[in-house]
Amino acid sequence: MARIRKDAEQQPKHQVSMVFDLNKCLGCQTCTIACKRLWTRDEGMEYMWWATVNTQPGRGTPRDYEKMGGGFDSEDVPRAGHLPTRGEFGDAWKFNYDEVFYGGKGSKVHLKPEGDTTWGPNWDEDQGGGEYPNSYFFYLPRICNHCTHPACLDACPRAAIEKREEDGIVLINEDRCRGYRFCMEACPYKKIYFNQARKVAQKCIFCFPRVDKEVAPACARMCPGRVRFAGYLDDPEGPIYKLVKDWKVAIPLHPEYGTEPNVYYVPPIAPPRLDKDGNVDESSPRIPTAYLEHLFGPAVHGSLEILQREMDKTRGGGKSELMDLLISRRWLDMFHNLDRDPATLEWTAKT
Amino acid sequence: MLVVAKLSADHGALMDPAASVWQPIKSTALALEATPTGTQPTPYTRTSWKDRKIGAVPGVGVQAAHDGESIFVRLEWVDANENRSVEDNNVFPDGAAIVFPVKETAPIDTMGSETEPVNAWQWQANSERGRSVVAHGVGSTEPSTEAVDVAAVRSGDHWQVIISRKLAGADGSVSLNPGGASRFGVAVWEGGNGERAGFKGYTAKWTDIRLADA
Repeated sequence: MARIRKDAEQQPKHQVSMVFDLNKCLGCQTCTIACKRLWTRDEGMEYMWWATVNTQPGRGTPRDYEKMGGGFDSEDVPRAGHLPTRGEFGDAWKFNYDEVFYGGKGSKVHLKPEGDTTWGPNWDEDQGGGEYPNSYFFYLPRICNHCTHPACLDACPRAAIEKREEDGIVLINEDRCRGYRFCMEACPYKKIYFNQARKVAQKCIFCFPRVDKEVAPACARMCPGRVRFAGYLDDPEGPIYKLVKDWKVAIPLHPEYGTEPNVYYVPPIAPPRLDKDGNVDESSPRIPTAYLEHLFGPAVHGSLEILQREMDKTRGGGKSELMDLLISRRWLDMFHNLDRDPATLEWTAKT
Repeated sequence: MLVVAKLSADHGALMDPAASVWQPIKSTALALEATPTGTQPTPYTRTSWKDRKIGAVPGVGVQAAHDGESIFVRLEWVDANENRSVEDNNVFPDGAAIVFPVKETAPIDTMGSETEPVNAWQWQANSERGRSVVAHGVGSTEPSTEAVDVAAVRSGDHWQVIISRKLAGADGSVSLNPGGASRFGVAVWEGGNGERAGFKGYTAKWTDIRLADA
């Protein structure tokens, strides 16, 4: 889709990117926790999960974010968006720790959450879709997409959001942010949170202090399933370029939102369906392609075809460069140009 | 023309919106209207808010006094929906501001211009500290360093708010003098209506003021 826009000449020199291989995601939430431990432990950040993993089909985080608007229409006009509440994000549940551990009632009172407990960040985990024996689900990790055409940046009346020239990371300048939250309305992926304690908007920063030192973001480096490729979209030697540009198997989530995300997904292929006699039925896929098209747009058809073709090659005893790339036998190959071991760095504490 | 009365009452009384010192001072009623969406600074705010009703507070009563050193502006308006917090993402605090031209010819409806700045003093219901900003046009506000004192009380369904600053300004902000004249405007944000930033009720024209002499 051709776009005419005023920021055309302001595009970054390079663009960081991630590819998530949904065929490998275990839903273990190690990425989620790696991010939480590193970035969102301060007051006001209790309910924040800059990296999330949700079961699909499902309502996502925040709940029903796909129905909240934002982004741009096909004419590149901003669409009005809903401001997600703490409750819709799943909030930070409070527990009766004081009562149980310090109130002398430990033998009478059991630990329990307080207040509204009708929703959480991955509340519909493992509900999935379909009917036994052809039920299905997969996991969908999400971070800020560090978009090429960021709706948040476009919305902020304070010019508090910038897209870094050197690598395209989208950052909120907390010195300029006045907590107006138009960015949260405008982001169609609803990956921006409001910090009630500091009265500023906050979101995934693509671990820019690590990227500055050629270290991959924590969520990617900590992933035990080798799901998350991290690097530069414009690096032809890196796996992201190969998966997105050469093989065209990695595609963005909801491209119709018009923000040109820089996080890409390898769509999932589930085991085959079973017919009523329990025999393998390959006449249609277990995960309905229409559902994947809802998530990833029409490009998912081409991606699934290529994946299937390459998979069939290896099943037939042949070789597939694509399958080798996705298997990632050498872990550090997943982080081309971001493959430095953080243990080799001298970190200086900020005083 | 609004006359800023010269009073010798102590600073504490003038900072109390409910103090008797304010009773004899004439209140001027100013009408507020919605800020135009067409002049908002970003594509999102211009287009996505165009069908939303903003400027929920239709008018404000203004009283003003000075003590030779500081000016005290007392604002009072009806707002049945008290919003003091940002406890959830979709909750916004009530607020008010008074604005002065730093350069006399500055336009009010665009918050000044590149060469004609305005200086606004703001109160927000979730903060005990006021703030001073200088703007050179819509979306360009920058903090300035002068201390702005604020005090607010609820009286029934009314907000009563004092915004005060030293008469002498610095750092690109407005300076006022006993015996001198200036112009000012008022803005009110109804937090319960999601009003913040450039979405507010405001006086679309300047009101002349004169400071009574010492």
